[in-house]
Amino acid sequence: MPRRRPGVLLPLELSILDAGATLQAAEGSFFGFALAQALAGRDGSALLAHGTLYKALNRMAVAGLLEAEWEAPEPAEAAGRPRRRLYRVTGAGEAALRAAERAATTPSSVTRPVIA
Amino acid sequence: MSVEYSPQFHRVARAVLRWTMTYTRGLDASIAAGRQDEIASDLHEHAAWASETGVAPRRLAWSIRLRALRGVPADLAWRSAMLQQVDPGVRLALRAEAALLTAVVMIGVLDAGLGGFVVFRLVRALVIGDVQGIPDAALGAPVLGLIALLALPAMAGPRQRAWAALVLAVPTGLIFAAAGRALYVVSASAVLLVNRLPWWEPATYAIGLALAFVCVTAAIHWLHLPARNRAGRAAIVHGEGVPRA
Repeated sequence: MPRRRPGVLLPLELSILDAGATLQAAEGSFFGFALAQALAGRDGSALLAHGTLYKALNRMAVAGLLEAEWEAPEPAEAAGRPRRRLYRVTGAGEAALRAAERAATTPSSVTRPVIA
Repeated sequence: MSVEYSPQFHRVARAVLRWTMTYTRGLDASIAAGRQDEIASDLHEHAAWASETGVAPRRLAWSIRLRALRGVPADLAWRSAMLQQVDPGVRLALRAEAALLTAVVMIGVLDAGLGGFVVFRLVRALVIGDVQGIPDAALGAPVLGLIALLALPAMAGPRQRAWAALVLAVPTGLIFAAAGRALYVVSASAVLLVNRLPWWEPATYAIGLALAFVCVTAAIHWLHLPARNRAGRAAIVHGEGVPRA
């Protein structure tokens, strides 16, 4: 498999940034399963596989596009569930998303060959 | 009953957590714990959502199983990336451990396959009338193959792996000679081979004992591993605790 160029985001990563930003606007942060649901709801696909989802989240956190922290124990204990790992889209993530959106809407600067 | 408490969900959750424990084995403790806890949380959230939306337990279990299976390549790629951060000595030890486990499992599969092949040849010989009944000499290989087949699933559990390897050593040491004797009764090619190679029986015992030695060595190695390494970190599932950060 060819290595991707540094700084180039995969479609999955762009979807995560987009869906994550939407969830974050409503809830303040998001967690893995909520994100999987949001992604499935957007394109009507199946829930993202565990490995694919958490590998991507890990990679994006390492790249500084997301920040991650475990939620405080109290709300989890009160709700009787395991603690969630909460993610937030960082400034760098937002900038990367905006740049990708701009690139998608801007017409290509490549000159078309002129047919004689 | 809520789907979170259904046996179907508990079975699949245990299987997913076991797989998570497997691919995080040997990694930095905090990285491994983080992934295990995140998967435990995901399983709980998935079940809670299924409970709210009225998804049947069987459908929930199927959905979780599919998510886990589709994610296996990514899990392995993630593990490989995480292993790059591990000390080279530890990485080598992990690879040696994986190679030993693979070797013993392959020996078990070979034993079971050989037993199965002999059963197939026996049934075929009975159906086409080559033999009137199953000769006593042909019974050994299927029985030994069955023992190997029963020992193989036990290899999955780190706690019983050593004992499974010891059990596997018995059929491994004997099955090659037993298969030779069984095939001598039902296969013309085996008759020719046995008659042309008078040393076939010592050779089959030598191969069997060499492979049995691998099983015994692996069993001794696993018996001497600290219990902490064998059992790994206790998985946390809903109702049994709250994950650590």
